[in-house]
Amino acid sequence: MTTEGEFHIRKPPATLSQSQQPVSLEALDDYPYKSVALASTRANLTGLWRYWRPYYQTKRAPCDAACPVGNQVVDYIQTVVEGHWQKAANVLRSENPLPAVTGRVCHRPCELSCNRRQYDQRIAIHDIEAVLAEIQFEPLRFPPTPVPRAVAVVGSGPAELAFAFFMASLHHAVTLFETAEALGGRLRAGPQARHLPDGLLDAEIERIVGERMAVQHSAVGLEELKAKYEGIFGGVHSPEELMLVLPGGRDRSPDEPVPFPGVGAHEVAQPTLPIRAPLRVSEAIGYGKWVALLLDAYWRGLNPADTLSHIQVGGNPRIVSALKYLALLTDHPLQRSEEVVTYDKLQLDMLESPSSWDPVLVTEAEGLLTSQWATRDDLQRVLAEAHRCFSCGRCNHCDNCWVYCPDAVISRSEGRYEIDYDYCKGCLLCAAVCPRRVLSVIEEEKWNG
Amino acid sequence: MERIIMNGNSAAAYGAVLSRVQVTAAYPISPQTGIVEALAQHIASGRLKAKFIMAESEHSVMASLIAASEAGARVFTATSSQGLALMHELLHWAAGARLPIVMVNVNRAMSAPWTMYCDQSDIIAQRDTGWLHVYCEQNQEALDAIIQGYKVAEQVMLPVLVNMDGYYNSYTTEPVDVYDIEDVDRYLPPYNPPVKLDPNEPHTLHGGTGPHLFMEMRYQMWEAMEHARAVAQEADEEFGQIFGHRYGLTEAYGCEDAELVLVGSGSLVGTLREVVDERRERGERIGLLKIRYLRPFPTQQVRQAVASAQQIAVIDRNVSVGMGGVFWQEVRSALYGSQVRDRPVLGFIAGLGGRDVTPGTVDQIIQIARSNPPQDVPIWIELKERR
Ligand code: SF4
Ligand code: SF4
Repeated sequence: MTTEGEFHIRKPPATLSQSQQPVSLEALDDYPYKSVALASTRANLTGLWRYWRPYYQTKRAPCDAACPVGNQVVDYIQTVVEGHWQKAANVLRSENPLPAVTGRVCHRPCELSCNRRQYDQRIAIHDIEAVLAEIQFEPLRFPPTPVPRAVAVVGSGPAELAFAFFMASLHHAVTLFETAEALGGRLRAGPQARHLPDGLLDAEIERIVGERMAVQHSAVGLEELKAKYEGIFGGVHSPEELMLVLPGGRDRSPDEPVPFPGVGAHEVAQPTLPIRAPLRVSEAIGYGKWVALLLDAYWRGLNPADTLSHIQVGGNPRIVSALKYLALLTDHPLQRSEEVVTYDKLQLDMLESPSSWDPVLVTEAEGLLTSQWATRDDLQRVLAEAHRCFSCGRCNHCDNCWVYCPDAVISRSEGRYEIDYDYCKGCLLCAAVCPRRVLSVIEEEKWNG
Repeated sequence: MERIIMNGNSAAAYGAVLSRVQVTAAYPISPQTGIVEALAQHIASGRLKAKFIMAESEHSVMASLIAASEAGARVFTATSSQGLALMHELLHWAAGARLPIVMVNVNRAMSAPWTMYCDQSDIIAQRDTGWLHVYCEQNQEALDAIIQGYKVAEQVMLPVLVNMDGYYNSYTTEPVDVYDIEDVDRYLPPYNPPVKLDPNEPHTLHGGTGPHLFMEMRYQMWEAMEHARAVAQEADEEFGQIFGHRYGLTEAYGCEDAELVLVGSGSLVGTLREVVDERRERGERIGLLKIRYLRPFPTQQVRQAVASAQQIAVIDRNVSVGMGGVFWQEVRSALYGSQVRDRPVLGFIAGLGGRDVTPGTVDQIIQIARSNPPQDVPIWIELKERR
């Protein structure tokens, strides 16, 4: 039977009930004009159907994995894109004590492995680095070491400077021995020197040395040093051959081997460790840093080989990150996988085109400049360049997952996305549309162990 | 108001502009492409503030319009033939979801064999999807039917399909009145749906519905469609008062005293009109019934129009293979049970796949009608003879 009634569009109740109570529709007039749920469907935990679990995981960009210094390239580039210049400078300076130098003289393995190189043109990472080096920053702070050590550094080339810098940052008493009048070693005399404008190197070295270490311009012999210092690093016999000498002291006898990882085939190094100085500037900086962090770990009672496995970048035991070391010391392990997001892992179809940027950002950065080596033009150029970066392996809030999830179970707040696993059915559309491999997939059973 | 010479595609685009549609998604297909191009230009020039979505298929077109409409936007698209067919499942969805979408179909015969030319086989196949179906005779009517379409759709909450003939309308230029948009605003208020998607108050739409609930939902659609007759009538009346063009759900032309009533739809009505004028001048009692709405079917109007006729001849530019022309069936079933149920209702199939329906064709139809041909099989007109 049908009824000839007055026609009207029956609206559902103004606030649709979120209750779990079943609604009874006894009469035709109880029905809304269209099929709108009158009670919540939240009782159906559809997430129980899930076989594959999508989850967010930051990974490694190839640029990071290629940088011998251990620069967190994608982090500082994307921090610039987000408009936080000083934070970006902090990230840069945390890993690299000489960015104004490497930005100009590095052989740029990062750019060689930049994914965008296969797409159109690499990102001019060195340019961003050099300009960011002129922005005000706050130095990285490590937790105090229980027993600060007396450390001697012989020579002041890039490796020695980096070693001295990190040792001082890690609260050790550093004395730098350099017979030449000016610090810098081969940075001053070598073939790269012509790329460094007058005064730039001085300013960079001043930022490293400052009040934080003693400098002596007299010549010293190894025996003399061994008597006074617990750790000696540098070109003790010649600048071409770097050495780490651990004379022993309060916690070990002079002949006891040090469990220092990875120099050539040696698993366990002798207390005196000669190494051929790496030829390239950035490799030398990375090496000084590598020795400093692992030595500090050793002195803090950590196993250096273990530490290395925690702080290496992109699975490469030659490259270490100070920020990762800090995370280890402060017990804040970074939720980051070292899987390198190579070109084939990008979802090129889903990549967004470069967004435009606010000129206010340039003005802000201008106010943070500390020198005349970067200008407004440089800032503008670098900002545009930063916007070209694909942000490989690092979420840049493109919103694709949030937009595409057919079940609308991804929520977004304050730059974070969250998946509601009570309702995620594991269709993996989110993973398929993530351009940069941040969304990862694992079988639910494996996730649960 | 401005009177501009334009083809039907441009007129349809103007209809969308004047209706201030907010979202349009489209996929080009001849002979509809001109509408999409014109709309893209209107949007690019800023005349129409709307989001233009280039979809990868007609299926996606309708899917995105359904979503946009659920979100509260006034949405528009146009398609033809295979494109319309590709949308089919979503046409049901749009109607069942009670979304007042307006879509223009520039009709074109369904292939195979491959063809670009006009007939109603595409649109007729969508008859039962729950959309209102409006057939236009002229370009002006297409523009007007879109504006009226929103007016009606948004009251009964059902989608509207506006059909015009490929080539005959889409590519033929005629003078068309383009109204001042302020006047259209007075006629067509902004769209404000009773229910819309709102992230702040999420709710499930169209979820799984069991047998204990489903029939009532369908019945409400039925009710809305029944009611649409009166709403469409009123909307047409008000439109006429403001803009001076009135169409009705049907138009009975010279039917009062007609012995033979020719029934048609779409652009061929123009040809019928000429022939009827000419014949009436000669004193022949021939009338014309133009069917503008196929859904809801204007049963009463049809019954009235043919009340005095001795014979009714329905000319279909479509064929339901195995039965006959669809308008023919519709008219016959509308008359069944009425006082005129015994009048012969002849079914003629003409103009398929873009074959012209000329005054000469109509003359033949009249001649055959007068020869008292069989009534229960369709008569194919201007078909080549067997050898
Ligand atoms: S595109 Fe950006 S994140 Fe990716 S490799 Fe290049 S610089 Fe690194
Ligand atoms: S798209 Fe949504 S439902 Fe699908 S796997 Fe991702 S979070 Fe789960």
